[in-house]
Amino acid sequence: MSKQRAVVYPYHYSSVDLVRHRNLLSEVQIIGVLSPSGFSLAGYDCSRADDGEKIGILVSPESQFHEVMAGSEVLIWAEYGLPSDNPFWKICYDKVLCALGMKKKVLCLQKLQPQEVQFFKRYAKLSHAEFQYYEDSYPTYSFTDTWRLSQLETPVIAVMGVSESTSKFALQLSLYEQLQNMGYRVSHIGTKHYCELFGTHSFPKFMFDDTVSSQHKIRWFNQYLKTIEREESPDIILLGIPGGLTMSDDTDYGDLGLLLFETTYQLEPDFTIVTMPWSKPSQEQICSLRKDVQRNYGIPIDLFGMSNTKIDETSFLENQDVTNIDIFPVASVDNILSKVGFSEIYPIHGKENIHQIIKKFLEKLS
Amino acid sequence: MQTEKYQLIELLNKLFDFKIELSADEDKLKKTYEKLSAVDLLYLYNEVCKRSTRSHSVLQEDPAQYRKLMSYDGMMHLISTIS
Repeated sequence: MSKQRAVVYPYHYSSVDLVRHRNLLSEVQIIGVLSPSGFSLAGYDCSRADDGEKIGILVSPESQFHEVMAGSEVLIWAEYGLPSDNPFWKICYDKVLCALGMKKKVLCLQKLQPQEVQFFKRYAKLSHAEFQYYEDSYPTYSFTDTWRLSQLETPVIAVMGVSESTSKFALQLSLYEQLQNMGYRVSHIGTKHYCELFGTHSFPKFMFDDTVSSQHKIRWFNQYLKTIEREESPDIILLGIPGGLTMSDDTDYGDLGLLLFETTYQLEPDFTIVTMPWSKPSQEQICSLRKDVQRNYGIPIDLFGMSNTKIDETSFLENQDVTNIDIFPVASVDNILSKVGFSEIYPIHGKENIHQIIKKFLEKLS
Repeated sequence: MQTEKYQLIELLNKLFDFKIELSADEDKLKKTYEKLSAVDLLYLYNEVCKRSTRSHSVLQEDPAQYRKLMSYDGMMHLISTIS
């Protein structure tokens, strides 16, 4: 089946992974990206958004929306973490309605309120177009109430982050792509809510459902993993765990590490990678991190991955805003790591670094 | 005004599968218009915009202006600009 030509909008840092790993997209072929004015991305290679390796697609300005959309069949409405009362949403909604008016299919990765989804679906129906919300492609699972937890027989690589925005998803996709290229069959459960676009699994929705008790989450997640193992017979399960860890410095990094606890309660990963923000860590911090994760979750950390991003401290401390991200050149990660000299921390960008991480995993398994 | 009324009836019939007679009185038409949902109104508005001189988005108007433009009278005025 030929892939549908797609355009990503609004393009910015959060949607780089979609474009960088576009070969993994099972149903669409990205032919263009559109960035809102004021983002300073238009006219540059897509890699300007994350300061990573060159991608090979130029960012088009929003003003060329009609021309770029005319040559495509799908608009991928990329997620963008702004509050819903931000005036930018009006522009964004307008562009989505415009695409529907052009009878284009809209693949919505943006989280919306149920009434907004209904709104866009109705508008699409009137326009004889299609509006596909990311949840529409979630498979349904049925779970039993058995208390028995089953052990997985497949090796598991777990990817977790010290905090949000530490490039967990970028690392998962790089590992997934490279492991597949090496001939391994990989089942991936990813940290983003739109992994089905990559032909993999989004972290299951019930794990975020406040009406489901922790006991049920633990049991159901166990059955969920066993179902994937049975249906896909993978060589490796790659499990991305959303959110962050809870550290001993009393900083609240989100859900107090509860999701990580529920996820790993019945699971001992064979290889654990913890991604960390761009920083110059001390030996004490690394030791403390290891100790905390071992004590709180019973998981030994095999290696750390360093991102070239970190949450803007001022925005976080003043407003608990985790959407404001500082991005640093990828080369600066190499510089930091060469100075601190910790062999257990790897940069997570670049094929060679990913190859080294996989090598470590395979060494441990052998 | 009669021409605009006919055009609105034709649009409502075409876009939403209504079966309003051209001879329907204006009160009935207005009541039907006011029963349209927000999304239907916006769709109608954008369809009329495609045929008229107005090109910028109603979504980006302030709330008062938005309500004015989307009212029955606002729609009739917009229809009058259809070339």
